[in-house]
Parts: sequence; C-alpha cells; structure tokens
Amino acid sequence: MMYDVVVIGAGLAGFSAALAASESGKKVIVVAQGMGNLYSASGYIDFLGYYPTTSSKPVLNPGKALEQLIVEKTDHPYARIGKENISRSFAAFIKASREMGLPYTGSLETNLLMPTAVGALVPTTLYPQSAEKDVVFSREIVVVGIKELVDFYPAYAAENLERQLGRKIRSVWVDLGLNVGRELNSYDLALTLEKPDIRNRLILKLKEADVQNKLVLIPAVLGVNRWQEVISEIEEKLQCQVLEIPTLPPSVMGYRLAQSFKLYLKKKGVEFIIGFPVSYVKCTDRRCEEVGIIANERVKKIKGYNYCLATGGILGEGLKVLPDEIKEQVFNLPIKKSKEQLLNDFFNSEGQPLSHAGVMVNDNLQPVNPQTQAVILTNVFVAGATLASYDPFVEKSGNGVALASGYKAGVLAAKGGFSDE
Amino acid sequence: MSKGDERNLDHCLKCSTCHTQCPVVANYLAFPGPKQLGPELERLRLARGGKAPFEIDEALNYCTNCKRCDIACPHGVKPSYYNIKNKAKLKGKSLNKFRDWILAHNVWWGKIGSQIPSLTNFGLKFPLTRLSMGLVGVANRHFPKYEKKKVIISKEKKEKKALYYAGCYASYNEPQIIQAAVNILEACGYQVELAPAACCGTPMVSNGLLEEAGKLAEKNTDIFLKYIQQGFKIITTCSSCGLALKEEYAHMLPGEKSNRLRKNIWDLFEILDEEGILPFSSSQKIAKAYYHVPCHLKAQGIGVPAANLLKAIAIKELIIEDSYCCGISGTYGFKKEKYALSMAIGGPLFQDIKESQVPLVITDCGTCKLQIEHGTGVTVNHPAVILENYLKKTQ
Ligand SMILES: Cc1cc2nc3c(=O)[nH]c(=O)nc-3n(C[C@H](O)[C@H](O)[C@H](O)COP(=O)(O)OP(=O)(O)OC[C@H]3O[C@@H](n4cnc5c(N)ncnc54)[C@H](O)[C@@H]3O)c2cc1C
Ligand code: SF4
Ligand code: SF4
Repeated sequence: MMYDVVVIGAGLAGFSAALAASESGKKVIVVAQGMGNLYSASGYIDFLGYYPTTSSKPVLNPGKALEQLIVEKTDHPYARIGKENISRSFAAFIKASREMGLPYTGSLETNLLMPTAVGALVPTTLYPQSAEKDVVFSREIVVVGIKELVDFYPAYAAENLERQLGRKIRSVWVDLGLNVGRELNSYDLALTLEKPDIRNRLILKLKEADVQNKLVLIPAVLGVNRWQEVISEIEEKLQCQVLEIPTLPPSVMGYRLAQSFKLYLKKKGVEFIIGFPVSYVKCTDRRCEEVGIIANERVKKIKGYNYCLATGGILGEGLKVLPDEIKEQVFNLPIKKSKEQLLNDFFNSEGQPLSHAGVMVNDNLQPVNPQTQAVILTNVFVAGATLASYDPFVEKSGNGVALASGYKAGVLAAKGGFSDE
Repeated sequence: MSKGDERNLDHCLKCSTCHTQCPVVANYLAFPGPKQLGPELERLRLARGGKAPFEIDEALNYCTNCKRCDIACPHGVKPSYYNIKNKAKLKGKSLNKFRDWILAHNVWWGKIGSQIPSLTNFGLKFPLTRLSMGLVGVANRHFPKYEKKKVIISKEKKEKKALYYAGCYASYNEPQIIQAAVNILEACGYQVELAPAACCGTPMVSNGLLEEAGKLAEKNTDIFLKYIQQGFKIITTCSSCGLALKEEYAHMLPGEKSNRLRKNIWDLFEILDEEGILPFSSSQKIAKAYYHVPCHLKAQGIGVPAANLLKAIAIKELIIEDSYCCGISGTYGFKKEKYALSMAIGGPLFQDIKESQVPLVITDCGTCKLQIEHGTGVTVNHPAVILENYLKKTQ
C-alpha cells in the first residue's frame, strides 16, 4: 500500500503533521516507537516564553517577539517556518481541538502566566478553555493539595505565589480518604474523580475550605476523560473558579491532549502503527523510497510519496548521544553541532547547547547539510524537537515549535513534488 | 532473561506513559500497573538477588497480558515481559490454580467438545455443570459453542506452500474460519496444508504455566521448522496465536530456532498485503461495519491489513478502532473473580459499538468475538469469513 504521507513520530509534531496532511485529504500513516512526550508535558502549548533567551522577564506578546526572533535568528525553526505558517498552525489547532472535544483557546498576541506545581508563574500561549483563568488579576486564590497525591505541597506553592503576586495566598490540604493500598499518581486520582461519590467527597471538603468566589488552584487530577464535567460541577456547586496545575508525569493534561488528538486523527482516517522504531530506510537520488520497522526479525516496509520526520530530540530518542557524536536515528542525517563543539561552549549563555543540537533544515523544512546547505532528502520534512538551533526549555517554545513545524511539514508533505528549494 | 531485556530495564525513565494505557489500571485502582509491576519491581528483584517474592506479586494475576503497555513505552521497555515471567513464579490459591489449569488447557476441552459438540454444548448449558464450574471459579457466562466440520482442501501441488495454523478457537469453535482461510490461500495460488500442531500455548502463558508453555513451544517450533525447511510459510488467522509464535516463543526459547520461526510466521492478511495479491472482486458491499483491532494484533506491528482489505473490497463504511481492549484477554474473562472487571474493561468498546449502530462487528480474535457478542449482542465475524464471499469466482 502506498501512502501519500508517512509521519514518523507520535508526539505533538507528528500529530500536527498528520493533521495538516489529512486536512488536504491525503492518505496518512503515523509510525512511531512509542507515544510522544505529551504524556509527561503539561498540555500547554508555549510558543515563546522568554526572548531574548537571556531575558528573565516573560514575553507578554509572543507574536511580536516572534517577529523579532525571525529577523534576528535566521536559523531558528520559527524563522524557517515563518510567521504566517505559525498563525496558520495556531488557527488549525484551535479548530481541531474544538472538533476533538478538548477546546483550546489563546491568542498569539498574549501569553498567559500559568502557575506550576512549585508556584512559579510561566508564560504560555495556547491552553485548554477550562484553564482560561488569569492568576495575576484574579480574585482571592486558594491552593489546594490532595493528601493522596505525593509531590504536591500546597503551602510551598502558595508561598512562592505570594512572593510573586505580592498578596496573601491561602493553602489547604484535602483528604479524599482513599485507601487502595498503593501510592496514587495524578492519573489514578483523575480516574477516581470521575466517580460521583469521590467527586462529591472532594466538593464537600472544598466547601469546608470555604472557596466560594475564590480561584481554586488544584493539581490537574480532575478527570481523565470527563474533566469538563468534573470541573464545571465543582465550579457550579461551590460558586468558585477552578484552575488545574500541571503535575509531574504522568501528566493528566498532556494525556487528555494526546488521547483526544490521536482519536481525532483516527476518525479522520489516519492510520497508526505504534510500538516499533523505524529502523530501516531506503533512499536513492536524494529521495526516501520506503521506511520500515523491524518487528519479529522481519522488515515491515512502509512506502509513501513524502515523509515527515518528527522523532523528537534526545529525550524522544530521535537524536542519540553517543560518546563522541550525536546521531539522528532514522536517516542518519548530519547533526548541526558535534558534541566536542558543544562541550566547548557549554557555558554559552544562550542556553544548554545540547538542546540546540539537531537536524538543520531549509525554509521547506527539508534536511540540509550544515556546511553546504545542500538538501539531503527532498521528500523528507523535519519537525519538532529533532530540529536544530533552538532551546525549547530556555525559550519556552517546545510545543509551539512542535505544533507549527509539524503543521508546515504536513502541508508540504501533502503537497509533494519538491526538488531542491 | 536475555541480554536485550536486561538492557531494556535501564531504559525505563519512569514516565508512566505505560501506566496510562493499561486497561486494568483504568478499571481496578488497586492494580499497581505496568510501570511498578514491570521495570520497577524487576529492579528491586535484581537488587535482592531475585529470590523472595513480594507481596505485591499477587497483583500480577490481574495483568491481562494485553501488551498495551509495551507498545506505548517511548523508550522500548516491555513491561508485560516481566509480568509474564514473574507471574509464573506465583504460588496462588489451590482452587484458582485448578481453575486456571482447566482454562489454560482449553485445547483439551476443545477436543472433547468438538468431537461430541452436542454433548458439550448441552453440558455447558446444564445447570449442574454451570454450578460446578461456578464452584471452581469459572464465570457464569456464555461459553463458545463447540463445532466440528470437515475442511475441504485441494490436493494440487503448487510452488507456493502455506502451512495454515488455525489455533484452538477456529479448530474447535468456528471451523468456518479454517475453510475460509484455506479458500483464500488457495485463491492466492498456495498449496495449503493444515498444521499438525496443537495449542500455541498463549492460555498457559497468561495463566502462569510458563514451564509447560515452554515445552509446548519447543515441540511446536520443531514441527513448524520442518515445514519451513520445505519452503512453507506458516499462516495464522488468530491474532494471539500469531503473536505467540512471533514474540512469546522468542522469549521462552531465545535463540536461533525461534528467530527462524518468527521470520516465517504470517498473519493471513499480512501475507496478502506483502505479496500484493488481491483475488477478490468488489461486488455488493456491506453498508457499514465496525472493525475491532485485537490488542495482540496491535502488538504485532503489522498495522491492520485485514481492515484495509475489508475497506477496499467489502465494506462501504468501516469504522476501524484500536483504542479499546475488549477485556476478555483469552481466558481472563472466564474467571469468576475477574468477570466483572473484564466486562468493565470492555465497557467503552461496547458503548462505542452500540453508538456506532453497526449491524456487524469484525475482528480477528476468537475470544474478542465472544466478549463483544456477549457485551453488545451484535454479530461478530472473522475477516476471513467475510472476505471469502468476495473471492473472484473464476479461479
Ligand atoms: C517534562 C517535560 C515537560 C514539558 N512541558 C512543556 C510545556 O509545558 N509546554 C511546552 O510547550 N513544551 C513542554 N515541553 C517540551 C515539549 O514537550 C517538546 O518540545 C515537544 O513535546 C516535542 O515534541 P515532538 O513531537 O517533537 O517530540 P516527542 O513528543 O518526543 O515525540 C517523538 C516521537 O517520535 C518517536 N520516535 C523516536 N524515535 C523514533 C524512531 N526511530 N522511529 C519511530 N519513531 C520514533 C517517539 O516514540 C515519539 O512518538 C516539555 C518537555 C518535557 C521533557
Ligand atoms: S516502562 Fe516505558 S512507559 Fe513505562 S514508565 Fe518506564 S519508560 Fe515510561
Ligand atoms: S499487559 Fe496489559 S494489563 Fe498487563 S500491565 Fe500491560 S497494559 Fe496492563
């Protein structure tokens, strides 16, 4: 079977590529070693939180900062993607998120500051509608901890928030009285809160904590699939506002996005083979002809006209750090910086150089040779954390780059017929 | 434990992605889940020299071996591998052991049953039998009907040779699948023989009888390799048999033999897809159907070849779903203490099927079929049985 677009990788970049390609009616398959990083990440899509990277002040208008970045850093993935395509991916995602029943909201003109589990405030651009709550200009805040959930200390978060917001913030513990004989993580708690009796217990405890007319900050455990119901029930019954705080992995907010997105793509006819790394490729004449996974000592070949490479960075295993080099795992594409060079400028103020390493691309997101800029594979489009020349952690741009580059890669792969440019 | 599996252990970053994909965790909170039972406990076991079992090991009984954790892991760890290995070391209550033994030896029931189907079918319905089954811990649910049928095979010698391994379900409960598979293979130009092998061992593996399963695997492997040497491809139509021969055998008997074996195991529709042969004609399509992807098909990494064929040839609107585990997991759902859990796991699938308002569900796995029919009342068929009707008449 011949696919129009073969997407390698099932993270946000891969999903975004699959979305773009399927929107133009193409036959799409996603092949991945495993699930992407969304299950560990917050589910927020940060476009640009800090710029210049050395700045400690959060970016308030990411759109404007992006325009500046595109002019100043011509190698940055955002410069390769272009402002128009960034806006396009933004709009496409919002539309898709509504259709998948997990409506996201936000604007490229504003970053919202979101509280983290330790009470820091971090800028983000796209977030679930249920999280559209402004901590900075909010009414009185109560931070709620759940006794059953380890690793979240409401007093600690409250204290840090107090310092930043310059006002008194109360914290309380609630005990749901769950005793299942093992330590529960956020996903487990989210499962239990879908059960009416346990949800009622939480509501009762919150009532005792006097949260009426207040903004309740609570770890993101308010339901895995029925969170809308859980959140609105609490808000209605207690006449309060609820904002979930992302937790340590497994991240329920990331889970919701990953699961809904995947299901949505499936309903659009996108096929998935997850569980095996792409470990075979056949390329001739600067074109990828087929890729394959090795399952059971046999290569299962997957053929497409065009390919999106969205295998993530070092953490996602798209890039592998070897003793004296970094390797791109699927096509063995050259990496922009050798590790030696990297170690040399380890103290570079621009951020952690390891995360700058990656595959260098042209404006069509085709992989190029870092020295000569010659296109290496004309029908492969690279997206997400595999890309070189940016630091998702320092800039706070991880999911934004994944979404926008994935979308552009998907559009280009669907269009096809590329040579060099 | 093979080298590869030990290395895998170090790859676990404790991200808990696997935990969120486990259908048992989602329905039974006390179940510790794949991350803890698999890589975490295994590390502890290694640190303690692997001797004393942990109290928590009892929970291993609740792992359905669906392998959804394995394919979810971003870092190539396979938690189910450790679960199977350690489950085999459990002592367990003697009564449940007896019951598990009965269920693990479904081939034995199958043989008696299909020899005298009327007797067994009567026997399984008979209240006293049901009561005594209840006493040994078998859930009071519909049992598969036992059926016997003569398979018609062409004697003609051909270049392409297929050894068709039907597995227990098709052999004893739905021989139509065998005939359909044989007809399809013959239409693809194969000389077909039926495999003289017994059960693949999956029920034993999931009931913790690893040693016995290993012996069976060895015996079967030798039989299959003889045929492979003569140029046969081994064809399966049951997803769990297929996965066992491809993957489970390699775990039980690591080495050259099982590698040679797994290279020659093909799902019927996988081989059609690989060879690009389409002996079908697309006449009168069925309006709408639902294809349930069995967990053990998903874990084979071959995509959904049957569904793709069905879509191209036989069905106008085919909903292909791999999001759900049906919950039966072979013999799991037949156990009294797990019946309710098994039905709860299947709940979202049953609901999705009912909401889709389809008159027909298609799936490759026999026990998935039993569970889906039980949970929805909708007719379930094997893709081979459907596609056989679309074989080109002129051959
Ligand atoms: C803990 C954590 C929290 C974060 N929080 C945020 C946040 O709040 N907001 C934000 O904007 N960003 C956040 N980020 C950054 C962001 O998650 C990443 O930048 C982004 O997820 C990258 O997406 P991706 O699709 O490129 O890669 P990934 O999500 O890593 O996906 C890579 C995919 O490729 C597959 N793959 C790898 N190798 C192969 C192969 N050989 N063959 C086939 N498939 C392969 C993997 O299995 C996976 O499916 C966070 C990152 C981390 C680590
Ligand atoms: S086994 Fe894999 S998915 Fe599970 S916690 Fe470890 S790394 Fe994560
Ligand atoms: S094999 Fe299935 S039931 Fe067992 S731990 Fe993994 S996901 Fe859970």
